[in-house]
Amino acid sequence: MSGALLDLARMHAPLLMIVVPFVGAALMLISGSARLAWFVACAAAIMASVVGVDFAVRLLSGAPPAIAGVAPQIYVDGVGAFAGALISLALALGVLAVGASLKDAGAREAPVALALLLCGAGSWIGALMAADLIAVVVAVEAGWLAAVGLVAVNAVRERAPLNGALRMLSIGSIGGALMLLGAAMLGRAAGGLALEALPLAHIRMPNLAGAGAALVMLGLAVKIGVAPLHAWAGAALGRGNAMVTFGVGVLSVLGAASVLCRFGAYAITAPEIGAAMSAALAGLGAVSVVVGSVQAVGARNLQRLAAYAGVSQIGCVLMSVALGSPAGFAAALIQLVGFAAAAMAFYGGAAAGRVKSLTMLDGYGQRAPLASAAIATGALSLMGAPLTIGFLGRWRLVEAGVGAGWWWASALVIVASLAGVFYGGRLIERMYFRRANAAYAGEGGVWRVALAPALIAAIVAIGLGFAPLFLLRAAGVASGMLTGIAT
Amino acid sequence: MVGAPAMIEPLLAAAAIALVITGAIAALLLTNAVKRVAGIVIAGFGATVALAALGAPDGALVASVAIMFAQAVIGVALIVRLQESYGAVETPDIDSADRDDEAREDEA
Repeated sequence: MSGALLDLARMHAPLLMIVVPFVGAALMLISGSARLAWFVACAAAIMASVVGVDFAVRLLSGAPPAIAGVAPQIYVDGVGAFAGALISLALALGVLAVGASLKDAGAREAPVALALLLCGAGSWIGALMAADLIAVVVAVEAGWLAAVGLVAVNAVRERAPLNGALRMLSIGSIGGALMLLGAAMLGRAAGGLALEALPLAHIRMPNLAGAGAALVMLGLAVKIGVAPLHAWAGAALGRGNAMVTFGVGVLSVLGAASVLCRFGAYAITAPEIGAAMSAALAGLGAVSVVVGSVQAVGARNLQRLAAYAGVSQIGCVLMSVALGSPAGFAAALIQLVGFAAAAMAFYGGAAAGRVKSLTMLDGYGQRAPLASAAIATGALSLMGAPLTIGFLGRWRLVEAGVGAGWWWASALVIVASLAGVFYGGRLIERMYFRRANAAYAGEGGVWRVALAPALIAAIVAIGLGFAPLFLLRAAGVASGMLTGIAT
Repeated sequence: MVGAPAMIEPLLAAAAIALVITGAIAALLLTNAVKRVAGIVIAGFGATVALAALGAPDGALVASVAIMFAQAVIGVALIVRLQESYGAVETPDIDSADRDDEAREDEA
């Protein structure tokens, strides 16, 4: 009996990955207390991550698993399965990590914030599994509005997140309108909205199709916070609590970047518009690497620094996608894993001690050695230090770029890493070589366990740098599986 | 008569694009939060008209209207909260208040 149920669940794995977080969110709204809501959120997030990882491992290990055809709007491909599993895993770690900071979110607001966190993750996974462009846009908008709500709901102790939420809504909604406009143009030019048909479609009006695809990418770039479209990032993340940094700084950015990778993979392989898309993505990526690195060097707020370093990292992801080759898509997926691990470790280590400004980091290594280790590992990975996942991702980009004759991309990766040495080195110097100027402000007792996800992320960031074979193989298989396995 | 729809379609599409651009300029450049939300609604309406003009399926139009509605609802809720917290809906006033808060926090 249990075996049959397990088989049934496995057959509906893509649908469950989307639905389970939403069911968890609905339960949370009626669960009453913040602590009970957190336990429900943990259960839902862990269930979604188990389903997602199991599905991705089965899919990427070679034999495509059977999927029930109950949802015609779902279309699973390698990039979607890989990134969906990554998002569900990040969701589980993020929900576990925010347990210690529920009171920062407020007793009444915490269940709503947790529900929005789950809704956002479910929406991003939905966008990665959506069959047509309109479904992608709807899911992306749902994920984005959940992120805006999350930032606004967490304006309990501070009012600054409200300003960040307004910026997110203004810029992101225009991005949404551009995505809808782009979808309409692309659908008209390609004769349909199905993503799987795009690479093989006979595009009658290449200029209209190119403009449409560019608008969709622009809308997604706004939601990732790619420079120079990241005016919301500093305001939303700079003063946000742990719920905001995990929900927006990690999950939302990761979700939007994954959707852009998936859409870019289909658009770039369409012969009529591929070259223009590649040039647009490469340009956007290059600007993002430079602007993100410069802003990270100048940042005085730790969370803003992490956000800008992430902007630079996402620029590398865009350049990888712009290559338009399986090697480039694989490099982009590896860098997404690297971004998720580094950001999780970085934000988790900072949230443990409620550190916001750089001066609060002074002597943090003595006050909170484990949290400092997580921040240091996140910084090392973001700067692309050898033997971290960040180095692996950038190395794969350099390899793929040199193979395609893109020497300038390799030069930009080196520039980003040099800037990373500067801002990452400054953090490490403050944590380990300065005297403490304040007491540890984090939770004590049993809630110290909330630091575990940051440490797990840090271990993953280093572990995958030492032993990358499994990740390299999974990313390689995922990037070669764009034709999908189910309709 | 047969040619009329063919003529109307590009006109509608051009008007839709103009609406999206107008809404985007309002949402990104105006300093009043209420006007920004109005800009968001105008841009969303433009996108919906573009979908209709370019022959998107009915489901896409419904989805577009739903997105526009959700954005407007969240926008209005945000305006109320901004007015309660800052006593203002002008973004320069809000930015200035945030800078003051941050400076006070750094001093402490």
